[in-house]
Amino acid sequence: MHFLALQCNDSAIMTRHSQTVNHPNTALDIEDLSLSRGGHALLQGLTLNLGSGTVLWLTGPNGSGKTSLLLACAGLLPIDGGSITWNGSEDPACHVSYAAFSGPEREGLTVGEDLKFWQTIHADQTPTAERLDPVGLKPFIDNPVTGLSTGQRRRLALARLSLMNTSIWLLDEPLVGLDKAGQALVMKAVAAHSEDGGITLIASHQPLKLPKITAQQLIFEAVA
Amino acid sequence: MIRTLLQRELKLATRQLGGPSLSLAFMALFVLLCGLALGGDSLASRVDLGVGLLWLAVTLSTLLGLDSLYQVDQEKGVLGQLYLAGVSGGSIAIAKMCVFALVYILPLIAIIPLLAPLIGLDSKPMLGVVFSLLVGLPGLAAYASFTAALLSAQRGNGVLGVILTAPLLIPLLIFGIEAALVWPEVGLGAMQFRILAGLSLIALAVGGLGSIAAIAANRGPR
Repeated sequence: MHFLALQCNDSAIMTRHSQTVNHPNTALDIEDLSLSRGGHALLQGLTLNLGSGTVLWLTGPNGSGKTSLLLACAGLLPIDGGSITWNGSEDPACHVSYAAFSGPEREGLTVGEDLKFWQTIHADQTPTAERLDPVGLKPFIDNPVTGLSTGQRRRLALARLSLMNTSIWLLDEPLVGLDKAGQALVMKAVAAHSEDGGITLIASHQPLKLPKITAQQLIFEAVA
Repeated sequence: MIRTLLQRELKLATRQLGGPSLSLAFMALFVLLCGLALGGDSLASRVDLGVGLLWLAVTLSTLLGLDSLYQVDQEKGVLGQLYLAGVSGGSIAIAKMCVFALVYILPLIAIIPLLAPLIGLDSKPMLGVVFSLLVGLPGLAAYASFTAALLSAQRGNGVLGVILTAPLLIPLLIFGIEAALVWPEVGLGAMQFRILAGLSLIALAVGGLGSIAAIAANRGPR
């Protein structure tokens, strides 16, 4: 057993009005999960039942398995044992958005083209410029992805997150490389998602300054 | 869905023409060197040699472009994101195969009329090569896609891709050359052409299903 302490701050779920909640019955259920990567056991026997509105902050030293847990929760890493279900389904597709540390944007496309592609894939009808405006990338819509800074790529990732109508968000170090305003944007989006009934798992070395809600914390211990 | 993927693949492929032009240059050089090494006159008297060389040149040059096909999308996490969006591996494989055939293989076939004189090949057998390659095109693209998807999570997979795909291409190569040789007399109805078409369709089924499995296996990070 290599992990972990779960600190439950029971104020995670704010009062919500059921008629405005988009994801009322969100559930991420992890049962007896075992994970390893590169032959090293990272997690054993992890059970987590997360309900609507939860924000779970994963902290711990490098290499302790935070990203691996997010990948497993995205169905992108084979698990050694146990099970994960997403809103009761055994397939994460269409339930989960996973924002990796470096995104899927492709060099060779413009910012607008790249975002438009994901909009089409996710059947999002909003004009691309309107998706880029809140994250401050509207002036860059015709710029090539190649020229974007780290922070701007994080902002693009946030824009991508906003267009997917999924109930479970998995964010890997979403604050790294962002300025204060950018970090506030991420926190605002996470808080809004939580109030909308969604679940968010955030792996981050920086404390989360969520407006109005408190995140639960899952602390990973170093793997020997 | 496939249209969206196709548009994106085409955009990316036509903007990053380094790969296709490298394949073209390799093929031109290969044919030129063969012409020099074997001598234009001796090649001109051996039509079967010229036909075989052209088929070989196209297949080898095709394999050169393999590693760019899925690798970047795998590395950037695009395959994972498409999976989470509920996009089927089949749609991805079809889009990749179409664009690979269009941007990588078709230009190779298109420059054959320019290269044929270098090895003293007349226009009739040259046309035979072009037609047989067009019939074999789906098979070539499918096997290329299969290997590229299989190796997408490996870095520096170029040579391994060539080694793994080459054996798959042997039946296409054999009947492709045979079909090209009989084309001047018998035309497209020749038995060799029918066998080539059959092999190409088998390749499409095997390579397509293989690509789908390989995409699923490689959607996560390394």
